[in-house]
Amino acid sequence: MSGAAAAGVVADGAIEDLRRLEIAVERDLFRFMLRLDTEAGEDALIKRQTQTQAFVLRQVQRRLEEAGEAVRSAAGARAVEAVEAVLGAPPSTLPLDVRTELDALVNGQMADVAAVFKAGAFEMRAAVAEGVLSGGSLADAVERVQGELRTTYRRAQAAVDAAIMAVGRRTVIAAAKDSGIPDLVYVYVGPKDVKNRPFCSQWVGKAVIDPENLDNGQGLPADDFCGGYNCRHSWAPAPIDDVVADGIPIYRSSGARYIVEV
Amino acid sequence: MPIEVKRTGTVPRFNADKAAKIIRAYVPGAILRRTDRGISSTGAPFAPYSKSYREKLIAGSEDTKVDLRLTGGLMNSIKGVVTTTAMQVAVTFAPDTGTSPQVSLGNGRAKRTGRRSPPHNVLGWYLHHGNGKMPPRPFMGLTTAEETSLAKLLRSANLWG
Repeated sequence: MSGAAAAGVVADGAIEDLRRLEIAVERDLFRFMLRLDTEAGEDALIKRQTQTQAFVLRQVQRRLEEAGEAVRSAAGARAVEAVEAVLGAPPSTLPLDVRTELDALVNGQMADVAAVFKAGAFEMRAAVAEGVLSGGSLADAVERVQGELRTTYRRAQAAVDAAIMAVGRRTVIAAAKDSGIPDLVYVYVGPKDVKNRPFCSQWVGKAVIDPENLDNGQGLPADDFCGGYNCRHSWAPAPIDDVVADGIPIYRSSGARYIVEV
Repeated sequence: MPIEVKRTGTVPRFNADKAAKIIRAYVPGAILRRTDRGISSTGAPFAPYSKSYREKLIAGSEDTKVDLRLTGGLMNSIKGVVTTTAMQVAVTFAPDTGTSPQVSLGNGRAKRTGRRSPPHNVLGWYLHHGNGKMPPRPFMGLTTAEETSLAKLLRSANLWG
């Protein structure tokens, strides 16, 4: 099953649950209307309506707890499918060296992907609770939940994309470090525009000898993630002689210029 | 110069594994750096982007240099892969079936559309060879200068023994 299809199953299951809930709410309100004492005063009507809403809300919360648990328990499987959607194939079909790197990084990233789904479940609950509390229609809440599900899956995919990009950078740097080539440096390549993070603006067009010691201010390893999530840049390993010949300045992570004797 | 014939000792063996590691390390970095400078693997500058694509990049506040990079996913997937059976180094997109998120450009930002790009091996082939509408922008492979640089690295490494 593709990742998108799998997400559809999650969405369809949760939405189906909510649709049943919507019907139940309508039925409750209809019963309430049948029992309505037209002679009762406005205060009594409001009280009765508030009681019904509170009852409905409890039902909604209970069912959403169940739906949320289902979404959470499926998060691991969905995360794998989100990985497949990005890879275009099951991770098991990848070349061994790529798979090893992928496993190492994606396993670490899985927690993030699962957290995205978990946060999505909370968002969905909040959306319905708010819809009911504010007296809005549950159909609107269902629409909002559908939107949240789409957004949640996209967030999960974004986390996977970031992991795959990180694997790419890690594989290239690991191959460079394993090569035995003396005096390799890493040139920070990629776009130079107004969207650059401060880290990217600082390093683009420059070379560094130890990218693993840089701090991108995002709490993510700079050798794997460059400037952070969704960063468009890469580290390009190169022999120091070539970089000097190209006139690219070379630094240590401390920021001190690395002076090369030619 | 007379030929010296040794009758003792061991025959020097070519260290293919070491050579493969050097090639695997050098080639992806060379492609990334050169492509970033807008130079093709023939040594000539890349064909410029079309007017409409440049306008899209500007609308998305993106750098307009021809570097074949939007999300960076394709370029980040370039790797050297050593096949141990035949001891070959393949420079490829790994995973070759991998995709990048498709983005639309506008209002100064790149927004994910929810769709995915073609697989990197397909996208890479189109970019390298062109597709009739889009001119070829060959970026895989090495220029003569890069081959010279790689040869220098291989010579300076002790590959025999």
